[in-house]
Amino acid sequence: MKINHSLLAIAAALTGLGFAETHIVNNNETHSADFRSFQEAHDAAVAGDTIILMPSGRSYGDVTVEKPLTLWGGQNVSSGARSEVGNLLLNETAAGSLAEGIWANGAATLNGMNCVLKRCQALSLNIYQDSCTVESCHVGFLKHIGGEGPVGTVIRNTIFRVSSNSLNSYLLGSLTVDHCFIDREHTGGNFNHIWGRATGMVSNSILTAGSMTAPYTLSFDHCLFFGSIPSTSSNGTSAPNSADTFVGHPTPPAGFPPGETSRYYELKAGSPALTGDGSGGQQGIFGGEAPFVHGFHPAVPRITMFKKLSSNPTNGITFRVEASSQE
Amino acid sequence: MKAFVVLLLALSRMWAGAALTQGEYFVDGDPGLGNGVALAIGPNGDFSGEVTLAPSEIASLPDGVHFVGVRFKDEAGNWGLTSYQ
Repeated sequence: MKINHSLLAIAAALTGLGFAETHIVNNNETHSADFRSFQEAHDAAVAGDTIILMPSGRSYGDVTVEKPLTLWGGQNVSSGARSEVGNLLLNETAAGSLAEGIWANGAATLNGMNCVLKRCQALSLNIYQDSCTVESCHVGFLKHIGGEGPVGTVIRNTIFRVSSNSLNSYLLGSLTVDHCFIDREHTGGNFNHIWGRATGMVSNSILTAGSMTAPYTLSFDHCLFFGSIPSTSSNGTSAPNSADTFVGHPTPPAGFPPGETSRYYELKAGSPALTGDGSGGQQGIFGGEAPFVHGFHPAVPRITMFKKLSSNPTNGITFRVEASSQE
Repeated sequence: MKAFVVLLLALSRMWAGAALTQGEYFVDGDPGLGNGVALAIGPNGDFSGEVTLAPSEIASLPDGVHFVGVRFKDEAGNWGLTSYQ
């Protein structure tokens, strides 16, 4: 019995180290899972834990994250089952959270600082806080708002849409936009009132129709414009032939919500965007019609945290990075 | 026996996914897989640490917006997605 007590002591010590837990959620009751609803898993989770919403034929409903968590989902490409939610909200208390592989049929809202949205789909995207990252996503109307506007936002490899003021889609604060496809509603209008109050850089991106003649505080570099080239652009070019760059589906592909034409776009074979690389020398986003789609749990290393900790002239800039392989 | 099971569970959690073999970061232009600044992988095969850009490194950059990219490779040779800040 003595050895058992020793083992128990060792085990207790190890469990006391605070290993992050993973909580499996599946609302398809024919499959095993830890929980049947997101809320049950969220109630059981503590900061640093991971909640996996298994691809399912039914939506998990509105999801509000109120702790620093990793929320993973995915899509079973063969069956079409996906990790679908209604509205996805990463609240202020969820600062530092990561949501990846989630299909939001409502709005995705980043209300916490240092939040990351990766490989997600959302009807609209609201960014209210600083230092958030949106990567390899496919979203509808983008709002980048809150006070003077969030700072340090990075949007990469993402298809998103901006719209007219009447639909309350506009950008404030500072942005870094790279390798994106940016669609604008209403081809007869312009980008001016949408982009005019933001600062930062838009690079290696394709911007669809519309005049861009306002005195922009945004800079544009290596972009492809389907309208006029703004005065703050360097290395910009107008599309020589839009048909060679992207195509839009006349009707929604299967499974796409009606009325969301921004989601119909895909890059055409031969598009320079398909062969774009990370050097900045080429234009466009990576991926095709749905770059967010991936097989569930790709067995590649995953970065679960990457955020700036400090920045000062004496010590430089320090980032916190955490990564692990896939089980 | 119960204690032994608890121990195994604890150890399995510690060892699960412990398979990163390489990590790297770079600033702005992607130097290609394996050509960035190396990050030391921990003994458990995970990475949990800090990346610091020294003032001299920052001073060498031209004015403007810059990216820091980070990525990792596992023991199967798979590189993960590059994350940027």
